Amino acid sequence: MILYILIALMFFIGLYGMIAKKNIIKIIIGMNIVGYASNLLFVLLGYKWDGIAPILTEDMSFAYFLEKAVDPLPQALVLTSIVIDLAFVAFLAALAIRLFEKYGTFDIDKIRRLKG
Amino acid sequence: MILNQWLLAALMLLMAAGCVIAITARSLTSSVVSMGTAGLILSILFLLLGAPDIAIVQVFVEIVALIVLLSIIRRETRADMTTSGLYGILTLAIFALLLMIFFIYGNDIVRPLGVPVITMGGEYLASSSRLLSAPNAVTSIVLDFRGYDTLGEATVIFVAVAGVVVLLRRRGRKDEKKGDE
Repeated sequence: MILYILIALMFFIGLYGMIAKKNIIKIIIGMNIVGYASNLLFVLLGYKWDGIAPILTEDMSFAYFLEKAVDPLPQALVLTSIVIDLAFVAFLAALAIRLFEKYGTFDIDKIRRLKG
Repeated sequence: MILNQWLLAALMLLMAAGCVIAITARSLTSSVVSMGTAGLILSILFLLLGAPDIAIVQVFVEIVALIVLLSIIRRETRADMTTSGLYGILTLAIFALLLMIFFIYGNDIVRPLGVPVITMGGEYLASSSRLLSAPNAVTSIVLDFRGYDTLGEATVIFVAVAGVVVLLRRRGRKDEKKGDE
């Protein structure tokens, strides 16, 4: 249970960064941290005690593999999610670069004030 | 492999500390680097949890994200002092409320660690090596059972890269400025 509480803590640290911070870089970092927490939760939900990675080697019988291997489905989905997170960070970074070129700051309050 | 719950908890605590520093640090450089620390600890956690593929991808993605963010923040060297108090207090209040709900009802929803909730993976595992003869079950799920998901992922990446190219291109922007003047 303590692991789930720690993941919830990380999720809300990221959420706090997204909501309360006014620097665009901090908002991107907070979004990334929310992504970390949710990915870790999914992998943790598929974990078995004394589990092995879901890779079938030659010296392993299939019954042993079925009994011991951890759940591969959350891993496959998290793999997709991590790569999409990277694409999203790159897109937000491009938006931040454009905003900085136009307004000369990362502070969203000043960006709002300079809007003409 | 003997994996202790407290080992996982210690690594996760380290990661949470990295996240706290990343959000609260005044220097943008140190906050980005702390985020990288959290991501690399996350890849160690993935490795311990029996997911070597995700660990490799996480290391790669983390380093690329770090390079991208560091290359942005070299433009601004000022320290970040900004925060808004009201929203922060509001978030913490929501956090406390949700944590309370989690403690009251969570025992019924979340199984204890190490007892998988999702049983779909067993079906995939049982059929994957017989149907595909792919030794890595994650690969066979990504490429065969959920091939359309992977196609969608490729589409999302393509759209994101196209967006980055459109946002950062030099051509056409001068015309826009001339139009303004």
